[in-house]
Amino acid sequence: MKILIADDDDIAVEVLAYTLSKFGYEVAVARNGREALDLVRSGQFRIVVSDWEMPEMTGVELCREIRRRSASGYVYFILLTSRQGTQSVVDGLSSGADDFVSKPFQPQELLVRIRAGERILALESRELVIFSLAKLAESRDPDTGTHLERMREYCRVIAHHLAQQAKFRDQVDGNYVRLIYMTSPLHDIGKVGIPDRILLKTGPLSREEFEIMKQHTVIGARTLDAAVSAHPEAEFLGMAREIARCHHEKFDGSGYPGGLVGEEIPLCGRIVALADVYDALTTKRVYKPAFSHEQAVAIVEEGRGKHFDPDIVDAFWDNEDEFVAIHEQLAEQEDQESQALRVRQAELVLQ
Amino acid sequence: MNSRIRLIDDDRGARGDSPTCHPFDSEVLDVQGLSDRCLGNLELVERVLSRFETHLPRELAELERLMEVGDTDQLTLAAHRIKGSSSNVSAAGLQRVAAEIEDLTRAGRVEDIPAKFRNLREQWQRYVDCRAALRRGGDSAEGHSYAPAFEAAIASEKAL
Repeated sequence: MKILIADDDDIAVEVLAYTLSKFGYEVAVARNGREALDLVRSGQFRIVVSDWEMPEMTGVELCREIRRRSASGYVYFILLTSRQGTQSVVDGLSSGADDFVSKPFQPQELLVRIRAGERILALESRELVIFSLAKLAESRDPDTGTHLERMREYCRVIAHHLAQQAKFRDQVDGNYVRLIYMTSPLHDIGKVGIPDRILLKTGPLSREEFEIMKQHTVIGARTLDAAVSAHPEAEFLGMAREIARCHHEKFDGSGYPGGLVGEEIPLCGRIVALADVYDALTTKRVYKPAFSHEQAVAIVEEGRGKHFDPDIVDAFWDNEDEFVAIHEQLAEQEDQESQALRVRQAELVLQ
Repeated sequence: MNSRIRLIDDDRGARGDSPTCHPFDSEVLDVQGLSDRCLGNLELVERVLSRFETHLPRELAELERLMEVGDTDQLTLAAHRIKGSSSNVSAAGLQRVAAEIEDLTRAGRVEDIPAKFRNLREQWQRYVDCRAALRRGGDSAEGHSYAPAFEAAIASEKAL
């Protein structure tokens, strides 16, 4: 693990660099905030230990800039300072810093704090692996663009709303919101088991083909079953399995694969069902144009109590502005990525 | 920028007339603490102390100049730098007085700064005395020696 030290004090740098090297870390040094920001933007550093008072850009300003611009993974930021008092701690952490260590630092204390940072970063790595798996599964279907990114955002918005409702308060908390954000992209992972002739077919599916297509819910759940058996303590695997199995169930029992009714369908499945349908409606697919938000709202409302849980529809209604904002924001990102891809392809042709 | 600060020419501490103190007072220089923070690397201890001793007189001179021109913003930063570097070498006395100057400048109490600056000079002299005693071999009038601190440091390095 490479750690970036940002400090203009030679003595502090020397002691800190020696200590971190001795603990087995690779260390680089920036002498001011601006230099540190350039190094962080190189993407080589996931942990920064920064002094507060520095020329050109303070540690707090540096942290704010990193948080504002960060695009290549989370950077764990430790502020090191001789400032004292609660207000300084509040100011430091408000800038987005993850931890606050008083000078002079004690090596063992610094080490445990850095290890805490590594654990946080490992959690993010786990999320990246999960998302990569989902993207891999999705890559066989070229029509979906940033479907997974939008889906997980929609799920997060609904779950966050439910967390504030008395009816769901016992079931949905911050951890639940985080888990559904992390695992909802795995909803279609079972599609890896569906033959191309069916998955990639542009025309309507025959009854037999549709029966095979429906199996993606069972295949996905069975795949995740194995992971759940090996790691029963991993909550996210359990939720991922429920989502994979139940995201095509319908509130009135007419869905698949189990024909579950109402609250027999796990809550995460009911949330993903609405998010998945809303996204399918509002984006262009080979078999249909993109519907407007208003058309999608009408279809979702039509499905209240039939396809969708009425409580989830209410959550959707209460947050529809956020749905529109997510859709627009990610559409813009998708356009930029497509454009960048076209430029890269053109450059390759010219070489 | 605040009003000009008058420096009273009464810095006996800087000329060696500071109140006598035990050279191994850990408030002056906590050798053991510094050694622990350097993971027992005595060469590193010596290197950072030497660097500190090169830097600090310049910082004190700068602090004094800023007092004369009355630049409280820069005074705050200069005091903060001294506080930081003193804490890095475990010189708690210097750190404490530098922190007091920083607080005074932040509070705009410029009239109290010259007296604190004299305290800072006294603390610096105590530090210099302490280091001189350490270099002489550490034998003090009370028969103390700094050797145990370094022996302990060596032991902790071996333990790593």
